[in-house]
Amino acid sequence: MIASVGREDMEDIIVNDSLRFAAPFRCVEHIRIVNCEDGLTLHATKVIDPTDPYLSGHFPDLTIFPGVFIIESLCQTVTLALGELEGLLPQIATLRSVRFLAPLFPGNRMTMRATIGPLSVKKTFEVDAQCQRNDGVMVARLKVKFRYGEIARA
Amino acid sequence: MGRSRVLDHSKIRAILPHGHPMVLVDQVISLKLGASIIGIKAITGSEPCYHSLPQGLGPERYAYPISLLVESFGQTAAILWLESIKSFNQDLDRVLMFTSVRNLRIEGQAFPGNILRHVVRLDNIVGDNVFVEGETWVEDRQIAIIESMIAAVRPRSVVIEYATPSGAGMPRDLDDTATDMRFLSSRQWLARSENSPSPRASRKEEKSSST
Repeated sequence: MIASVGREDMEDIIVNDSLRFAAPFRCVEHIRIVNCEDGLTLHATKVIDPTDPYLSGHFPDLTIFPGVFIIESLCQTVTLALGELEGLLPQIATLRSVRFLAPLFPGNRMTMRATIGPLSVKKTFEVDAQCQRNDGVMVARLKVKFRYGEIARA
Repeated sequence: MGRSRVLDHSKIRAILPHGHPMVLVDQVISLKLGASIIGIKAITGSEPCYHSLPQGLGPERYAYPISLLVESFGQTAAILWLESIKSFNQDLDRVLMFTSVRNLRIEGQAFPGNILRHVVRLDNIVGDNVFVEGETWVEDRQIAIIESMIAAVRPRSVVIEYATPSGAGMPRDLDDTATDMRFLSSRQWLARSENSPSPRASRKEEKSSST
């Protein structure tokens, strides 16, 4: 599943504990951090569970995993994998481009692959992510700029 | 173009297909059919997104999740569209599917006690795609700017068909986009900025360390 390209190392995170930041619910269950010459890549998975909070309302007669929770899943994956910098967590700065291509239903396993760009002097970085359903169907593509630190208030 | 009116929460529940607790618009304070809408969403600490937070976290950890903020904006846009087509006697056996966002910039955060005000303008309708733009405010602070959000109008039956696992015709390529990244671990990735900052960054650090 993961291409083997010489010098690479991996770290697995199993997300069991409560999140330490406000979130609809845990939108990621397992994260594999893969470091190789090509850079840093995060592989994350989540099985769609209709009993998760909020999902009973989306929709009452047919559960469809809301597209915005794929954004949430990326946000949680990046936050849990990269952790704090100077006491602050990464947060979304700009959704540059997000495309939802197919829906996710209860029981589907979502697999996300996110490549993490270099950290700029302004403590921002670009993330490029693709999400697939367990049947191989691409469900979303996301290009998101993250930043560490307080967001300036207008 | 349209006329202003106000929608209370019971009307919003009747318009949106969403159910509790996913209904993320409390009130509509302005509605110009076919043109624009202003939706209100009050954030409270009793919402599910604050349910499992452990004690002792800093205030920044209570920032309202961006995912829910975007959903709340999107639902406000959906009300505008659903009410507009109703007034134009369009085919109602269709649903609006959130398909894409372009350049949504987060400029600030919202917390329990804040009231979100989504100002949404209908930009364009091209074929089956509805384009909206707008901003989200908390009092006089603009906290998000949405350059473009696109929803696709689909017959209800087509959406249900997606539930079948065939997924024919969906893009499958997983080719990486070219990257020039050369770092080894997430910790080293973080250390990279601290250990080898640019001259501009190190000047800043000197400044802050002297205070």
